[in-house]
Order: sequence, then structure tokens, then C-alpha cells
Amino acid sequence: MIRQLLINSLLLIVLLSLTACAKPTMYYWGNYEDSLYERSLNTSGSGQTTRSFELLESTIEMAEKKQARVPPGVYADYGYTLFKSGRTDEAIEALKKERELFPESKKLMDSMISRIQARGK
Amino acid sequence: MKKIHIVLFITMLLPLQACVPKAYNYNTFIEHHPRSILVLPPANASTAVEAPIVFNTTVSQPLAEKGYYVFPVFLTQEILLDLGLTDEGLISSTNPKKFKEVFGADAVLYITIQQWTTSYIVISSSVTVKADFKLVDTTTGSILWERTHEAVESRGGLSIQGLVEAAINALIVDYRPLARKMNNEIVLGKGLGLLAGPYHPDYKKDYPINKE
Repeated sequence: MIRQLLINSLLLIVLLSLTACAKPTMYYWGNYEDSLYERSLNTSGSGQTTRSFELLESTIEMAEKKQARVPPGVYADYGYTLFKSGRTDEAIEALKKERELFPESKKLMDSMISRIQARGK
Repeated sequence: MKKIHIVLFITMLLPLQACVPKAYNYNTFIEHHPRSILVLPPANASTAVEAPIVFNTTVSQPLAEKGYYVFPVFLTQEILLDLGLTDEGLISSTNPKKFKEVFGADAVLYITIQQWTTSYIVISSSVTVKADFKLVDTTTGSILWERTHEAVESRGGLSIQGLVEAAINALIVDYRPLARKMNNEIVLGKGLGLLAGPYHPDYKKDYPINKE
């Protein structure tokens, strides 16, 4: 009788703690962390490799497709990489998306956008 | 007989309530509650050379999920290099106001990895990481939050699989799982972690009530 009660209580506690842990994330992270890890392994230069860029881009594509929230810094990262690859128009577009989603990034995004535009002319 | 069951039941639940560590004093934090956090490249006081850079790749997620705007870590590193802040010494001696000026960041997070060690105990291995975090307000330079935390990951055990795992763990070093564990635990710890940020549903709702 006691054992049954204890077992039931234990199960209940375990179940409750599991449901507490199963909270969904606010943002869609996708392959972002993997793309950062790829870059960390590449010690030369800025670190972005073809593979890490693919992981970054696919994260954004999936988030947009699912209409999920792109995490802070992801569009900014993407924009910066596009700029380094010479894709300036797309770069500015991505940086603007970051600025729109996260007003906290405004100062940095504005200075990056104006630097890119100045270089382009 | 029934009373004993109830007592036992309650006694089982009590320890869960009692496990409340001494809480951090969040007064300064609340006074300058930041919206954005700039994570600086971690300083390394451990012997694991590659640990900091990998550590840095797992810190954004817990901070963002806690509701803060986090500047992208690699872009941050590049800008710091552009500013001539090429090493940890230069970074830590820079006035936090500079980071407000360049990035527009409300707060800066200084991380020091104190220890990253693997220990082998015959049939299992465990990796321990100890780090300290310090969140500083960029406008006033005051410390908003600081915490030292230790996280452990164990592999192995009493089985062939366990022995193989222990051996593999020793040879192939993937710092990520432990780094993730560390960053999640330090940010989310009840009473000691960060308060909810502006993008979190609990923003300003989890302010501790200071009892006199």
C-alpha cells in the first residue's frame, strides 16, 4: 500500500517535471548553432565556410517557411556574410530585417548599412 | 496507517521546496535592466585551448531564450578586431561605455573559463567546466549580475558500451554538450540566474520581492 503510493507520487513528480522541461523555444534555432560551431573550427579569417553559410541560410529559410521567429543576430550574421561575398543589395536587406525585428540592433545595423552603401558608391 | 502515508508523501515533497539556494541581490540589475547583451570573447584561464571559442557558440541561445537581444558573436569578434581589441587584456581594460558607443549595447557579458578538466576514474570519465560570468551596465559600468558556476558531464559506466564511451570521450573532444549545459544552467538557475529579458513573457514579472 505504502509502496504503491510512493511509486505513484514518484511517477507524478517525474511527469510534472518532464512537462515543465518541455517548454517550446521562443525562436527557431535550426542549424544556427551548428553553423557557429563550423565557423569556430575554421580558424582562418572570418571563419565563414561554404558549409557554415549553408547551415545559416537553411536556418533562415526554414524559419521563414514555418513563419517562426528568427533569433537575435541571425539576419545580421547573414547580412554581414552576404556583404563579404559582394552581394551588397541582399546584405542591406538582411541587415534591415534584423533592425526591424530587433530595435536594439538599430545603432549597429545603421552604421553597417551606411558603411556598406558608402563602399558601394 | 493512512496518516503515515500522508506524512511520507509530504516528506518526499519537502526537499524539493527546501532546495532554494541563497538568492542573488538583483537591485542593481532591476535598476538598469538591459534590453541587449554584448557577449565578449571569453577569457581562458584553463588549459583547454579551443574551449573558449566553442563555448562562445553556445552562449547566445540561452541568453536569447531568456528574452535578451544578443549581438551575433562572430560579428562582435570582427568588430573588436577592427577596433584594435585583439586580446583579452585589451578587451577587459576597455571602458564599457565604448561598447555602448560602437554597438549600442546596454550591457556587456564578460566570461572567464576558469577550468576545463577531464578526469578518468577507471571505467568512466567526466569533464568539468567552471566559469564565471559578469554582466556590466555599459552606461554606468556597474555590475548588474555575476555568477560562478560549475557543470559536469560524465561518460562511461559498468558496461562494455560504457568503457567504449569513456575511451571515446577521452579521445574526441567535443566541447559543445558541456558548454551548452554550462550556459543553460548559469543563465537559468533559479534565484541566481538572469531575470527575464524584454522579449520574454515573464519580463518584469519575475522581479524578486525583497523582504526586510
